[in-house]
Amino acid sequence: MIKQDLKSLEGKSIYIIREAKLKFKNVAALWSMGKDSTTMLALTRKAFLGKVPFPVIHIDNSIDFPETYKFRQDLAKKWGLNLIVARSEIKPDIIGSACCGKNKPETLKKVMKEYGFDALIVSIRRDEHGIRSKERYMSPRDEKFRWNFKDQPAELWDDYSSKLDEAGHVRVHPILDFNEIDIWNYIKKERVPVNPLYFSRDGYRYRSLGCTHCTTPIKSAAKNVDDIIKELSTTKTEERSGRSMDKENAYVMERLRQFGYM
Amino acid sequence: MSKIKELSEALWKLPSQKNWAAFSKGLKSSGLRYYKIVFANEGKLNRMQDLTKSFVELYDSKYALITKVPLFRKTGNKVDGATIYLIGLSVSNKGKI
Repeated sequence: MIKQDLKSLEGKSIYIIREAKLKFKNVAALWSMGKDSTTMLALTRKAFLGKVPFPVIHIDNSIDFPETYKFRQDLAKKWGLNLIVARSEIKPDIIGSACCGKNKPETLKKVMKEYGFDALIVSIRRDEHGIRSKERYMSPRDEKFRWNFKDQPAELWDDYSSKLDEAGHVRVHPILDFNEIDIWNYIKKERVPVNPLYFSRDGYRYRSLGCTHCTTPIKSAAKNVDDIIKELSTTKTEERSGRSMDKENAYVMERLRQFGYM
Repeated sequence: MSKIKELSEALWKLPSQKNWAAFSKGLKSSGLRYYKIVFANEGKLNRMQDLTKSFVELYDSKYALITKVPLFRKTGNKVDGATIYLIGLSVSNKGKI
């Protein structure tokens, strides 16, 4: 894994978060309580003098890990987050896993409509998945949340698009350039709180977190952030190897994202 | 441990919000430490109703199985997951994969 300069990554992320707050009327951020979205919230606090100045949405299918709920409860209180919990259903769909699939975007659509959000900060990274590498920092979605990755605005000289289809919204991706090891280096540097599931117990740890149904742990002895950084510098396994929907079908993620998946 | 077993039995009879809240309160002084979720239908979770066939095994600090509880909460005819009531426990990674 290539190690990048944390200072410039942080600077760019903070710039994008501030631009989003300035350019859009009603911004929200998605928070899954994983390392990436928690790092994004830490960056937001840095950008706005210790505050997160917009609502934070958790799409909850009611079978997340108890450790994840505890982490949500504690950090929301500690950081004074304006948390919106949107309950998603588990139901059959034609793509992906029933606990995620189209059901999470459907729930997100309802929340976006109810609160009238025009921009959504999402903590995806280019190195996570092939389809995510096609994303822009600010990426428009139409009213049905569809993403046309073949026709995206150019982002030259740090001039990000805020053009908005009237009924749609813009996805903002401030940590797109981070890779997995950068996230952990940043967590170490800034002492960002993390979900305890990332640390090894009984020889296993979770490297990428979803709900209890679609996430499996990996073999690992990494019991703290330093151990994880050391482990990642030599690993040859993909980050999302423990996520069932990614393993089932190589094209699932591309189809999910076209339907508005995060 | 007998108190938590009573609370578990009450959940099997009726996994209502009230019974889950009582269970969650009792969890703190129960000595239970770990949980393991067992999904029904070989892990094929297709709808909320499938949660009713799944359950959670609860273990003490020595990984001895103490009791089992449902994975769902029922409010009228509505079924939800109930993992939020297990706050305080850690996932058991024993025998994974």
